[in-house]
Amino acid sequence: MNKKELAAGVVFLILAAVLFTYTTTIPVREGQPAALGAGFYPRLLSIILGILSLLQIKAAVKVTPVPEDCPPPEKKVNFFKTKGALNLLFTLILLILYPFVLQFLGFASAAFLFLVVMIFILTADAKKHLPMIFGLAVILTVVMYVIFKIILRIPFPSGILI
Amino acid sequence: MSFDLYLAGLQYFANPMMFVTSFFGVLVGIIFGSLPGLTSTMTIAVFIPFTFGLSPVVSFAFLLGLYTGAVYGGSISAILINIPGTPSSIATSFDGYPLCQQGRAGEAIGISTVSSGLGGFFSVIVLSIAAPLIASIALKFSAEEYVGIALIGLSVIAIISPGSTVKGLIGGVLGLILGTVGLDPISSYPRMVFGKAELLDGIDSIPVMIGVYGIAEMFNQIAKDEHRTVIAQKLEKILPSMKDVRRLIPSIFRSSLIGTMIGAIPAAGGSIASLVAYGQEKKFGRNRDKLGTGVIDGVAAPEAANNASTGGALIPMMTLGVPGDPMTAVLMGGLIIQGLRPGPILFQQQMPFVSSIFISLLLSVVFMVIIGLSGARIFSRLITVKKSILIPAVFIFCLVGSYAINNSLFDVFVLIIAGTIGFLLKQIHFSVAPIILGMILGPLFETNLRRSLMLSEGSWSTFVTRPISLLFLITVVLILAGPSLLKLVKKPKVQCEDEETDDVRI
Amino acid sequence: MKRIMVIAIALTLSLSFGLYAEGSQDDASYPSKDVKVIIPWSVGGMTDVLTRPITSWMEDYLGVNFIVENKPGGGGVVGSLLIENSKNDGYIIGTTSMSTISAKYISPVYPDIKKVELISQVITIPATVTVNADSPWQTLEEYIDYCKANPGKVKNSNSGNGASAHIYAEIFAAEAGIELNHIPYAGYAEGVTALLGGHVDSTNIPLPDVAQHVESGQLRLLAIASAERHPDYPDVPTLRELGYDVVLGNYSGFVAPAGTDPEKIRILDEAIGKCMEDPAIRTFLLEAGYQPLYSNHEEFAGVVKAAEEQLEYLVNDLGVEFVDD
Repeated sequence: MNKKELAAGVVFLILAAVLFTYTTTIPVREGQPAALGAGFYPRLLSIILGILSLLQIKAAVKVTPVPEDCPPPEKKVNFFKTKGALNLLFTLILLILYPFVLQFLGFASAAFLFLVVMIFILTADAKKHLPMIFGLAVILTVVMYVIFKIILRIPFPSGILI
Repeated sequence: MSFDLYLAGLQYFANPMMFVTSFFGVLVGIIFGSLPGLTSTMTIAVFIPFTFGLSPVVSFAFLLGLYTGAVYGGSISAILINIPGTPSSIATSFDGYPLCQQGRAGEAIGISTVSSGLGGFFSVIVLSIAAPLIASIALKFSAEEYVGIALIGLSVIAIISPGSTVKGLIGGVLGLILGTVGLDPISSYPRMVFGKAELLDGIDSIPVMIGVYGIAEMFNQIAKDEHRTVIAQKLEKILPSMKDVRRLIPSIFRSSLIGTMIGAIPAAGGSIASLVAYGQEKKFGRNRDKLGTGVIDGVAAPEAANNASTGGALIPMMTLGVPGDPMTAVLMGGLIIQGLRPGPILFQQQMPFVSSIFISLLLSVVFMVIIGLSGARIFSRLITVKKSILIPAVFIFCLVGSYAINNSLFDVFVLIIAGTIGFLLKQIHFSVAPIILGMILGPLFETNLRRSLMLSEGSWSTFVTRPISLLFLITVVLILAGPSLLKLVKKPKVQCEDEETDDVRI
Repeated sequence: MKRIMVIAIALTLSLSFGLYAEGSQDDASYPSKDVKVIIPWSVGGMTDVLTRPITSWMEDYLGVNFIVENKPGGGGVVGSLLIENSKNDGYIIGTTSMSTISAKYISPVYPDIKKVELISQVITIPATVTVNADSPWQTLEEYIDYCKANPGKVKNSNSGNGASAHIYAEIFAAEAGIELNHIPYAGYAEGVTALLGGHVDSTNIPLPDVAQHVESGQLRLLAIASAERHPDYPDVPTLRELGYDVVLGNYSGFVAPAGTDPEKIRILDEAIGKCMEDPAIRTFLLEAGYQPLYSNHEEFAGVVKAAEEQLEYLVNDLGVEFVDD
């Protein structure tokens, strides 16, 4: 049994059920083939997804025999305590913050901040050298600014800085 | 059309500006096409205003250069960082990225360049010889035939899914469901819109694609703390050997034919062409068993097809005035701004101009090969940049690029959500390609299914009584029959508990 | 490394300073800074193609940049909502067409034409009755007679459910007393392609998109829905001449967010009027298949009102439903 696989199957099954319920709210026009309604196709998809997630659940709960010649399982490190997990969390927060900072500060300043923090997080501790990180961030920001703002003239939300 | 008429177009090329603009068009196209988040459609759109001051012939040489370059450029990021630069290079990443991880990025770019060039060349020839004939065939395609094409595309998902077929199918269905968001294409009923104006047109597949590929891949590298390792690249082998090219010629030819034909069908386009080409390679190719693990055959087929689709997509535009894909729609706008309305009248009455388009397209294919081969070394050196710098740079390009598609912050949130879900799916060995393919093919399938039934007044028999539609349906059955169905019932290989089937990337 | 850093910082500073200077100009004479033009449709589309030459003409005339920004989505809904909600300082304007007012019949979120000030109309495009050249119908009478004999059998392609060509078809069908099988396509081009391929029998898609196929002999124009005959097709009768009192067609023009200073509207309107008199602009629009028609902001209001009434009539009196709900 594989817990992750099982969880995925259950999530998909719930998704299928929600979608199916939703499609029942889509009105059907009398006197025309069912396939012509707006709800027919999404409902069909929800049924297919339901069947597939049941297959997924079935595969997940099935106990697969482990072959004899397996290497002894390695000691597993709890992923949530690794450095990778921490960095991933930081990254996710930064990504979610970015659109808001973009609106508030403007496109270039937001990009600069994002780059500084991100490079800082990912650089190994021994090599953290602030002026260098700032310099790289500035260069990348200028490149972005030239491409998107000057050449492509993309209209970004105007923040208080650039 | 006599040979003299072709030559009539050559007079324009006495102007050296033609070569200069074409070259710059290709160069700029490659650069923008390879940046994640800048699609080829957008590249052409943003550069159209630059052509206002140029004469129609010169400006079109530039735009065709952009078009060719951008479609090709998408493969570079697909190979190097597993982010397809444009949807038509999704299939290129299937084998391109594994090659890069083996340190063979240069070789992959080389083969991609050569097959793109051959595909492009093939389609120009077809365009200039048989455009009216192919256009008249494409006109015969009604809603029923589009259903067939969409089904062929969808069934390819089943063939190319590595590992569990159930997972591949779930991904495909998820993509199809995402494709139903927005105003329903037939009755305009708002589905899953939740009162948001941004959702009326549905969820754009580009930010989802960049999310599940780009963002998710970067998450993966951060989580595994792998970002300190850099894969050494062998750079000596860029130009593919004659032996390889000779071996790949049949498959490049098949893919070019598929690309040109699918490109010529309005609304189908390069993403379906390259997918179908990859699918047929998986089915008939000489290296079909190794496809997906990093073989050059898997790069050659989709690349030949997507570049062949550029010439193909120009066929309906030039002869009927109907754009073949979103990119040619924008190109057409560029021509109309110049006071030239592409279509039957232009094709019949302005032959020198039309033939100058053929020659420009040929020229951009040549420039593409030259720039691609001479740049391959530089491109592949890019990924030897330290990951602590590369990852933030990719992130910021993805963020800003997805904003720039529709000038909308909504797409930035779509990107982040898609990236997170893509990352979670990777953890349980789901492949993300079916999601994107489902999103692209779903609306095509549903709209035309319902339109067919409206045309036939509710009769399902219309799908088998029309010969071309019947032929497509038989093709679908043939694709699905055999190995892929067997895989669904076959017992999975016994595996050790923590044995990582890590290479689920397509 | 240090030197690169200094240069980079200097660059950022100078960029930010340049932007600051731009934003600080005073507002004594309008326009004194760049004007943003929001087009709710995509680059290279009908509205885009006709708007860009006009705005670039105005750049020369008014001496400031007109920055065109395309915000496509939801058939014009996304961009139109954005125009409504923009600052009404006269530096953000946009474009409008019939889809802006018809959106409320099909979309759960839709723009309100009362939330914008009309500036001026620049083009009109007449709807048509067009059939394939291989079809048996030589005149509108023959076509209508056939439709009456076979109700609901004649397939008519439009540009989407509730979109402009569907509206024309419904009004035309109601006036002619016929019943058509309406087949929605993604846009004008796709609808015309279906007619070219013989997958549908007729269409009411406006002139610019059918014109070249009529000229090449693949399609036949049975009637045109404008008030007067078209100069390029003197032999094609208008619907009005044939006894159906309808004038159908799309328009395109400029708008500004509600509450924009009337004086600024007047300045822009006047500039657009001057632009539309320029023979180069007229020739460009005519060659691209449009029919230039300038109306100032008062006349434009009449045009929009007439279109709204036409839609009301369609929905309330004819009982046409675009959406199942």
